[in-house]
Amino acid sequence: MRRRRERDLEDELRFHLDRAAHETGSHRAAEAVFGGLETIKEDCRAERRTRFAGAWSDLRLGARLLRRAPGFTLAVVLLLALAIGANTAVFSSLDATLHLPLPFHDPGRIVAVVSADTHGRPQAYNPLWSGQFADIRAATPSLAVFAGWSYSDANLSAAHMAVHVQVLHVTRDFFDVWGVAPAVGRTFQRGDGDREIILSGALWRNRLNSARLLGQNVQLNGESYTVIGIMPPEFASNNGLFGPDVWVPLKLTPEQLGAYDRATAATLQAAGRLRPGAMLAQVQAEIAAVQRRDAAAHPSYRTGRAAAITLRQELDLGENASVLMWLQAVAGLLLLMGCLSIAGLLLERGLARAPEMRTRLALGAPRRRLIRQLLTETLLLGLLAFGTGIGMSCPLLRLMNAMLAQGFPVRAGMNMRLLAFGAGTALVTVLLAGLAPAWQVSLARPGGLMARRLRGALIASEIVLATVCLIATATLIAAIHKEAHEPLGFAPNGLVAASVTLAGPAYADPARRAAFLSGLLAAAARLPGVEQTALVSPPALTWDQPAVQAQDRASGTGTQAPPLKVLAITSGYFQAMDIPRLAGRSFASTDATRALPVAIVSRTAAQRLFPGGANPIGRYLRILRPGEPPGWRQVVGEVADMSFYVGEQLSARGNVYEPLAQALPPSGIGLLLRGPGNANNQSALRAAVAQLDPSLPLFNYRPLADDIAASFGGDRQLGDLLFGMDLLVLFSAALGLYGIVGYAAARRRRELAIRVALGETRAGAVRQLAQASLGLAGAGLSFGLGLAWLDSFVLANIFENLPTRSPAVFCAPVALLLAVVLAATILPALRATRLPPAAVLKEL
Amino acid sequence: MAALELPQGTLELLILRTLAGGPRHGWDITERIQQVSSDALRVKQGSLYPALHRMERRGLLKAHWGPSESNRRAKYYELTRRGRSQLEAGTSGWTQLTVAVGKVLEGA
Repeated sequence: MRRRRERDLEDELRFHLDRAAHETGSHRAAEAVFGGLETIKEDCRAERRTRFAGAWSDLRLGARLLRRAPGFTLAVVLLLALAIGANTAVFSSLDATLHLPLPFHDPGRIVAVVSADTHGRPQAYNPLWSGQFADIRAATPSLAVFAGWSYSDANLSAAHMAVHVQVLHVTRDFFDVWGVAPAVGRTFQRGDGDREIILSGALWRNRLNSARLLGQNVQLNGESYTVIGIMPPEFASNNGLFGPDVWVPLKLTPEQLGAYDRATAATLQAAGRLRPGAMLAQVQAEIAAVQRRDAAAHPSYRTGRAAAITLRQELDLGENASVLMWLQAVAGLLLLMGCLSIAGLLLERGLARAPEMRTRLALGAPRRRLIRQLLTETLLLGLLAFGTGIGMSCPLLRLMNAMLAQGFPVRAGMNMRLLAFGAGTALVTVLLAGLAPAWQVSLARPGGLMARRLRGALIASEIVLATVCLIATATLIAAIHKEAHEPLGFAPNGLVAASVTLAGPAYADPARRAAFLSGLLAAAARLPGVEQTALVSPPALTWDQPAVQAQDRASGTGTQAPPLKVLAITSGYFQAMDIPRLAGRSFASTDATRALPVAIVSRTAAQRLFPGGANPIGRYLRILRPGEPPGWRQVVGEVADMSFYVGEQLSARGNVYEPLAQALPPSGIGLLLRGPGNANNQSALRAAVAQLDPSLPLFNYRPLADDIAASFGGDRQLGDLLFGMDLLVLFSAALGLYGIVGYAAARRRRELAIRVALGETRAGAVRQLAQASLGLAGAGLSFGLGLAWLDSFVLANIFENLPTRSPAVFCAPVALLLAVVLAATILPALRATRLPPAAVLKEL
Repeated sequence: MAALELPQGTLELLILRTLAGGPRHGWDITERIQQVSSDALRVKQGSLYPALHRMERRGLLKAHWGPSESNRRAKYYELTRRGRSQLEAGTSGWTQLTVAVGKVLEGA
């Protein structure tokens, strides 16, 4: 096509030439008249070219130049692709979290009403007092429905199967809030009986084998309920709001409906649906009015604060969105560093091309044209990087998914939002990175003082960014590392835990309870490979936190201690958990129901209850719970502290133990088994429990080490992700510096060769080259250190429990960065000075 | 008579007018302008061809290849509809301009 156009042009002009020669009789004269065939050809080509064709030729020229400098191209594309890939991967995770599809009708109209902290900040999933719920329901006309719910667990017997289920006790209008109809049957209606139950689709299908249950009676904790409906499986999807197996009507006493205090009130989570045309702000105003009225009416007790937010806001608050935001910030920083590196590389490269640019400017090329060509080249780089980055984001996503199996909800996969984000990122990056060099190069005297200053600023700001980023992430990683190595105070390995729920009329009889529990312990002890057994309530690694008072020795009155975790245990507990006894004795079978009430305290609990370092043995304490007998318990032993999860703060520790036989009969009982090779006992244990009571399912059988791993999982993943980001940041800094210094060295080869030829030592030449960059890097490092110091205060505000500014956290990243800076400056300088001067001088 | 300098922008108008009678090739256009202006106007060949290519790109002219009088392959240009309306607009503009300029030159 192009060749034909050229031939046509040649023919046309040649025809004219021949005719002219014919007329004037002389070929030479015609040449003179015509005045340079090639010039006319070029003018004709220029006239034919459209604006688009100009861009196309720029693009071709750019591609040719990039092909001729594969090292440069590879460095830039890799840098950018890494930054784009990391950003897109994190963004996709954030996107998945924030755009989680909600299986409800018009979810935007659903309003969650939660309690707020003392600053009025809404706390996701935090329940309201029942009195608060009733007052708000009576005074929010903007809500068409306002429903409340609370959780419990229970044993369900249906179709000759016994399963343990999570129960949601709901007000009758509960399902109207979500606007989801049952798959079969109906939901609760006003005025119906209390003994109705709705099953979740997942429970019915997976654990009740899709038995024919609609309209049938099932037993919930030994009481009979009629199945009136089965919900579609996606409704109870575990999105933080639900995850229950069954729904039953909520029963509240009139006292509870008026109560705002811990002693009598129930706690309820609540949500409503906006009336058509109503806005969230109206609901917020109505709730504020309720609170003002309540505060005036009941000045004696503290009314809880409540806040109305959209359902989406509640989910975002509850999810790990903030952690992802943090990662996104680091990824953004990485992108910024990539920008700076590339700007530096482009600038250096532009300087190397300064003679070409000067020639073109001198020949009359408009500056606009030169800038356009340089930007086209950068854009081409951006396009390459975008392709590579998107390609890389998929494996990066997979990597993140693998690491985040139980952390954030990450739904991998490409979508338009993601592609647009990646493309936008790439475009912004290349424009940012390419504009300054392009502008600089097109100046009348490219490569002057301005360019040197620009380059200096680029190197220094890159080091500043890297320093701040590395120190900030090192602080977090150090915190996570410290958490991981904090002793737990017990030995989870070799421990297996399981749970049963003793509820319903059958277990109201203390003799029956005691018989079952001793039968359970005996059966567990008979299992092969089991050496120690114990019971604990609440079940393993959960806790109850009632008020505990220590008796003042002189006055005999009680002093309230800070919150302590209270566990009811059998005598084998400390042995099974491997918790060392520090003083006094352990519980024994003689600490029976009617014997002297006793307690054991952990070291921290002893210090909290009886400050001053006194011996706690023989002192008295009491546990304040509704229904608890008012007497004092004598402390008979002291044991070491234990953590219930990884990273539990010292301030959160402190346990009080009571004998299970002397505790208020709890419903949730945990069984602990320690011994070699007891991992395969699940079915034997199930069978043993079924023999004791066929309607009582054993559940949650698992190695206790799993719980510990799960409690640490999110943090470890965050640590790993941050570490990965750090590597990228270091790599980006190294590549950027190496590129800038390397290019500068290559440009000064001739000067260096002359110096060396005139007797300069190689070390001197290297120093010459590296000096300026190292000076800039040093300035960047010190400034970055200062910023990181300030930043650490900001971080301490955002993340609780960060270790104080330790020297290691500051020194290690700086040392690493320094090593990278040294390598990236000295290596290219060494390479540039290694060539024999004669060869270099000849070559130029 | 010596050749006059063509004022800026008039070359396109001359080309349009010359082609109003029918298709011509480049050499023919030069000859025709020279002849009609009684040798007063000589189009510099270095400006003619770039102008022709520009006008073709802008859609004022269209071109086709055909045999010349000497039976060689030649590129013939002719007016498009857009070229024709451009000629009308250009001609009336030129006339008004020359009349006005003439009045000023005589009256002053």
